[in-house]
Amino acid sequence: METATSAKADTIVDTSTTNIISTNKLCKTFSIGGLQQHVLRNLDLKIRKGDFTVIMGPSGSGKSTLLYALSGMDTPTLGDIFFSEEKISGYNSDKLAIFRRKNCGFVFQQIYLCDNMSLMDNVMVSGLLLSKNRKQVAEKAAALFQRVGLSSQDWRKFPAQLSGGEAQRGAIVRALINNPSILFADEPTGALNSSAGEAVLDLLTQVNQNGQSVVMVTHDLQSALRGNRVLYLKDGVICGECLLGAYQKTDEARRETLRSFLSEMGW
Amino acid sequence: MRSTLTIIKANLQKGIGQAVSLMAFALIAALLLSIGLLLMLGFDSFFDERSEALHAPHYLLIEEKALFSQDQVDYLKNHADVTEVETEQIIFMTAEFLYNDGKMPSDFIFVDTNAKRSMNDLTLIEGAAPKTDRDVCLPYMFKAGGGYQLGDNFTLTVGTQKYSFTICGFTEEIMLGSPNNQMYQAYLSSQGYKALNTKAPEFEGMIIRVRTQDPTDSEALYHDCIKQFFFKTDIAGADRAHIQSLSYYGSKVVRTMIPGIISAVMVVFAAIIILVSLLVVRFRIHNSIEETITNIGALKALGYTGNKLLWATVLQFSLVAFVGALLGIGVSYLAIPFVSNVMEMQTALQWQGGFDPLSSGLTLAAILVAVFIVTLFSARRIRSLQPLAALRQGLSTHSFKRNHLPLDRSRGPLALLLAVKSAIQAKGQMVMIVIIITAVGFAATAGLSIYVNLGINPEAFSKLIGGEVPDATFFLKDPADAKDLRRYLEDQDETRKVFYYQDLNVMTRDMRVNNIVAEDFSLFEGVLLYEGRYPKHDNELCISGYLSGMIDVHINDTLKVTQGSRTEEYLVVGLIQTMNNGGMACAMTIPGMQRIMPDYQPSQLYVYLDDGTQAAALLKRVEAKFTDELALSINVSELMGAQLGMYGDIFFSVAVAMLAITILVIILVLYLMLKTVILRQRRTLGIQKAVGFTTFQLMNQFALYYLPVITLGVALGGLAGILGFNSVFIAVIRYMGLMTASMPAPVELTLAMCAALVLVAYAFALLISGRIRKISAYTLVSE
Repeated sequence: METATSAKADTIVDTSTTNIISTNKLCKTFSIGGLQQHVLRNLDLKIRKGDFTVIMGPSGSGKSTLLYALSGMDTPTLGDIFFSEEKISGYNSDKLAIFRRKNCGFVFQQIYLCDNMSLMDNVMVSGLLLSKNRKQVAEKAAALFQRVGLSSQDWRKFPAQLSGGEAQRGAIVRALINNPSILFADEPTGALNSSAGEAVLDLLTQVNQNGQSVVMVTHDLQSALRGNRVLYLKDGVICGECLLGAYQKTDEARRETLRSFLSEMGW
Repeated sequence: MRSTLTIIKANLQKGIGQAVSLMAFALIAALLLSIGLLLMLGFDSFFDERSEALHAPHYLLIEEKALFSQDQVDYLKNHADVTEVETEQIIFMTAEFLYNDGKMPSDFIFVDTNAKRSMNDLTLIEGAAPKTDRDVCLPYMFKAGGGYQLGDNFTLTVGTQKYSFTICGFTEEIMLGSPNNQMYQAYLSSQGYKALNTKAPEFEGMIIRVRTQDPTDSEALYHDCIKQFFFKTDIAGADRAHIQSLSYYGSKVVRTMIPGIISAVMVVFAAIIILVSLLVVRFRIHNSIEETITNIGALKALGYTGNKLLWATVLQFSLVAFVGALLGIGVSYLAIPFVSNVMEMQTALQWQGGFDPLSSGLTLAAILVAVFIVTLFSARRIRSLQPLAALRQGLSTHSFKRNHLPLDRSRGPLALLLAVKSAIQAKGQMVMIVIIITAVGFAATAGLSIYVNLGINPEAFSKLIGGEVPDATFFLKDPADAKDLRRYLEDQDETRKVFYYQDLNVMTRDMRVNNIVAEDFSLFEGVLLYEGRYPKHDNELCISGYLSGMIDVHINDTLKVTQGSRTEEYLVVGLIQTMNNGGMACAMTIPGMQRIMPDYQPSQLYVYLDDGTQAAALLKRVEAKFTDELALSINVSELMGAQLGMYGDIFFSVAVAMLAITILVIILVLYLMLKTVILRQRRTLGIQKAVGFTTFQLMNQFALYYLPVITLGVALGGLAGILGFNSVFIAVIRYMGLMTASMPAPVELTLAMCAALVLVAYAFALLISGRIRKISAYTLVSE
């Protein structure tokens, strides 16, 4: 097991070969009632290809802001974001949309399926953005549904007719339909009960084990254990990093490492 | 009450944009309805008020001096309905003059400004009373419709004689100031009057002005006088050049005709806008309930009763409608001078239309009551909504039983499929939009039909109204010269055909009927006959459908006709249509006329020219050759152009206003619908943006979402306009005596207009959908 911790670092310098995302002095500032609130401050960060990166931190630390900035859902105030070698921080909203459809998958805490569409349609809407081959997309969607444990009866249902866990699994299928190189998950188990949450985490782990990068924001220790790299964010800066190695279901030492890291971070 | 007001205030603040657009609907509806009602109720009484203010006569008898007798004055003075009689010496001529860039013949009455008169004396709208012998004051119509200004030269032509004046003022005339009556009164200075009288003594005439107890008695007096005075003169064409009469009632009908048409159009259009507004209100309420359903649930959970929440909604919408309607009524008063300006071309009356509590009250009440009732019915659901169901976003009331067009199995572009899916899911809303667009599409087609038939291409319609329309017509002083003129006309290269034609007044069943006398009806090109056949023999006649219905005489019945002291019986062989003389008409051959007027000889010729040739050159040659023989020559094409040009301008204004309002309504409807739907679907839009849809893809999807229903609505509206408007028009015009008149919608132009409306709607839908730009994937998660 490879475990390493590094605390109080503004810059995480990574020596691995391939980075899927990197940032250069990334800043995000919000203006609220005339007051400037600096949510992300000069972040230099690298996300390695194939990693399951977990971002943790207290409420208001900028976790979700960072996730959405990295994924091109939001634009930074200052600094650069590179996806592989491509600088995406200067893109307009339409270019970002095209970037997202080609490269990113999203899983949200609130699930965010379109209420007025069946689960299959929710997936097809995303799939048909990239492929014109309806049959191929439908077949791939069916296979993915099967993989996440949803039957054809389930995928014909509307979101309101599904349980939270079923809907979130459907959302994961939507996130995977375009075979994204990176999957972003924002508190994916936050709205689910423990068994449904566990199933969703299993799926994300599987996705990562299949070679896709995952970046997940979470508050939950159990969820964070799924990652091989945990970043701790506080007041807009990364305070520490914990490298956990590959996930194993029963690995107490791993759990302890993370627990002590978080404790050191003041969590 | 305070809590209800708090809810209303909060709702209004939240949806200020939609409240403003709803207010705009109420404003437009109130504006149109108010103008329509002000015209309908106000113009009529305005005409009466002006008439009273000017102490206008209710009946006029105008004749050449030789025909005047004291018996006429005595008869009128002794008539039961008459209260005042006054006589005045005048100069009475039928002359030609330039009007609206065309030559127009009319009867002209010149009076001495300084002569004593009590009825409708000189009342200046502009300028000053005549001072020099060249000065003339003309009715205001010459400025409003004829294109004259103060200081302009004004020339009258009678045969080869020309009489020139300088316009020094424009006057207000009730009876003798409208082109519809074809009689104008002009004021000269005393020396100017004497000079003209010396120059043209043959035109000396008399006018008898009469006032009755009640202006509505004027029509009865008019008919009494026709019987009493007109048929004692066995002169061919007597009532054309030598003696004329006018009733107040008849003048009022023609001078208030355009305001009547405009007010009817406005009221119908307002009704359509109100209908649209009500449908939008209904839509807004349904959406408002869905948007605020959790608030409703929370308020109900707190103890608010369903009734309280219902009344808050009703009051909220009624308040918006009230403010909009008040503003609309206010704007209508500001718009009245512009409407009046348009109508002035025909009415020559400067109507200012002061505050009218009745029309304003009716407008406000109509809009408020309609909005109140619709709001009450649409918001009923609030009362029955259970707090728990409301807190759960009304999920128990939602049903997605069927997934239309599943994307994994349906073919077609994604944007289109998504648009159609959304449209199917919002069936109710779509049906409503179709109804709205159908209504405005119908109105736009009606506007286009009016403009094309009466504005751009009025010739076909004018043939219906005017009866038989030649290219030129010539009146001879002596019928004995008619044969020579006819021969000459037939020899001209451009002449296609020539025949005798004349309108003469006859009596039947104690009513004056306009009798069309012609040598050969088979040569007619107009659409006079609509049933049976034209008369061929001297004992046959046709009667108008209107007269037939009135006296219950039909084809194969016989009818007695009187001229002067002779009465003969004729067989009715056909039914004709005309609007002239209130639709009271008949037609017979020259031998037929000679049975009741043995010395009758035709003195008028109708000339038809080859296509593409102008009548002006022929008129010039004829006038030069038959200078002494001609009483009057008319370039009918030019005359029609001048008269119809005036109506063209009015109907152009009406049509443009209708089209502009149509487009405005479509834009407003789209704005309201799209804004609401975008607001409702911002979550879905955020999700779609997150998964990679671009803003334009979503905008296009939204525009496409509305395109099929707008296309359907415009198509149905256009179709209803093409098929339905003409039927409505035909039904109305039949009452006016025209049995085959029609106002066909120009099919190609209607199709082009419909296509343009769809394109405009699509472009605006795209523009309004630009709001999607503001929705970002990030706002979805950050809200």
